[in-house]
Amino acid sequence: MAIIFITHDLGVIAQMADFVVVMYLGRVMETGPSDEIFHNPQHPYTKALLQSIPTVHSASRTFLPTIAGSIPHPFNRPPGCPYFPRCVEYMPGVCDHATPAVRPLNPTQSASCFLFSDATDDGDMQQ
Amino acid sequence: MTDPEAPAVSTPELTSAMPDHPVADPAARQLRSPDVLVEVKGLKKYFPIKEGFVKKIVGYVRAVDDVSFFINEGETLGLVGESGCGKTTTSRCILRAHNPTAGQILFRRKSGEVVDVARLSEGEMKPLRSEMQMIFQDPYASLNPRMTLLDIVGEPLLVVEGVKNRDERQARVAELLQRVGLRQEYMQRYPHAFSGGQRQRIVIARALALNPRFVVADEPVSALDVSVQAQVLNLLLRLQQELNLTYLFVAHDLSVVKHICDRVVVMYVGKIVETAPTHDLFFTPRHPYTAALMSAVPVANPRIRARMTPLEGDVPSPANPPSGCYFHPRCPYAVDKCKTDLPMLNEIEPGHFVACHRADELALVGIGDARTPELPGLEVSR
Repeated sequence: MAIIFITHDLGVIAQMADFVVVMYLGRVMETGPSDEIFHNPQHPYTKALLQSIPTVHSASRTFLPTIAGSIPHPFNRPPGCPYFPRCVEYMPGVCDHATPAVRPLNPTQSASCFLFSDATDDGDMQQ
Repeated sequence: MTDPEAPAVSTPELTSAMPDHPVADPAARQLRSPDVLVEVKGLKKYFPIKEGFVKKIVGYVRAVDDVSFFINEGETLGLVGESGCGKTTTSRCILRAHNPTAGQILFRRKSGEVVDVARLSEGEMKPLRSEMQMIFQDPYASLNPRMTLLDIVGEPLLVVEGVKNRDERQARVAELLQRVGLRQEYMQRYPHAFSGGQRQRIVIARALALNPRFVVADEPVSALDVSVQAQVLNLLLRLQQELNLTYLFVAHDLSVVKHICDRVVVMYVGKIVETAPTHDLFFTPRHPYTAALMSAVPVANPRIRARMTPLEGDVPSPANPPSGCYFHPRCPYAVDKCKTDLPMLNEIEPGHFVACHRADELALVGIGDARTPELPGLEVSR
């Protein structure tokens, strides 16, 4: 039986899933096998997400790394990559102009980010 | 103090110890140490089960059954357990949102006076309410959609402190919003304009309006997204440092509890099974139930899988708990004694309390041994 398991609990994902799709504001940010997503995340959003969760092995009573800002309202989507206003690797003039398409990074893993694709590779234009 | 064998229907303390019967003896209101802010002694909350046309009481749900613990000033005490174990009822009794059936809830006031919250009248409670506040689980349900932020956060100021001047109230609300990381221009907006994390900040601002010393946070991050959860946890930590707040942190997510709490109380079917400093509880649990909870924590690492040893059976009903130790039907280590005798909560190491007959003989595994904490590629501690 195949299961689509929808959750924001990354611990449960790690225990359950073989393949993971990370979404943000209606778009796919990164896809890949669980092991790659948790141990070799590529998209800045996936990386930030993994760092922001407290785990039973992380140091107690310390400030967690967070993702600045909050998720925009879907009626008020930012232009370009939906994650750029909160992204630590935001490239002015690139990320806020075009929407990155999901492109393969290796045989199993894909991401939609201009760090890995050309600035002219606009995902919206191709649709 | 406990008499577990007594038939639930004829409980004499239900009448004699009702909160409106004050106990005059001040010696009975003794905190265990001057560092303690809140001390709960033998707290019970039974809810009647009514049946039939005349609503005859046929039994009691023992939601909280003889619970004792203390919270030091400035610390965070975690209260964990499965749904229905009585953790929310316990926290609500401390705030007197429920009237306890029996027991003492000692609270050291700003003035140094120790009061028994369980026995105060509504009128006597009112000045205390500003010292103890609550943060609720669901920020979508705990904010009135027809009130602006100014009204929501400013209401406690108006009701309790009588700040009638609108400008003064606005200034105070602006300061509170700033403290929780919201812009003061948001004051005239309604809650629907805000995301879950921002709403929880509003709830926190409202709780802080009266400068409380003690805050009960009932699952404050359970309804929030992962990235927002970290922000709210950081905010709670920062506010605690700035304002020397004392938190009772009710939660079921053990990763969050491990992250934020100094000490943890584990409850099961209305009773405490274990209390210990956070590190001890997670690395050297002494109660089989705590150990089972630890093994069920999902670790965000796909390379460490299937270490879980799920418990057999279901949580018993607090209306009809099992004989002896409430955990014995599900406990892999139960012996005959466990079926008949209710274990008391004993201090087996300084600060580590366990209610288990076999606590001394069992070698239980916490989160440390079964799992490799450091793996390449995953930053586990920062």
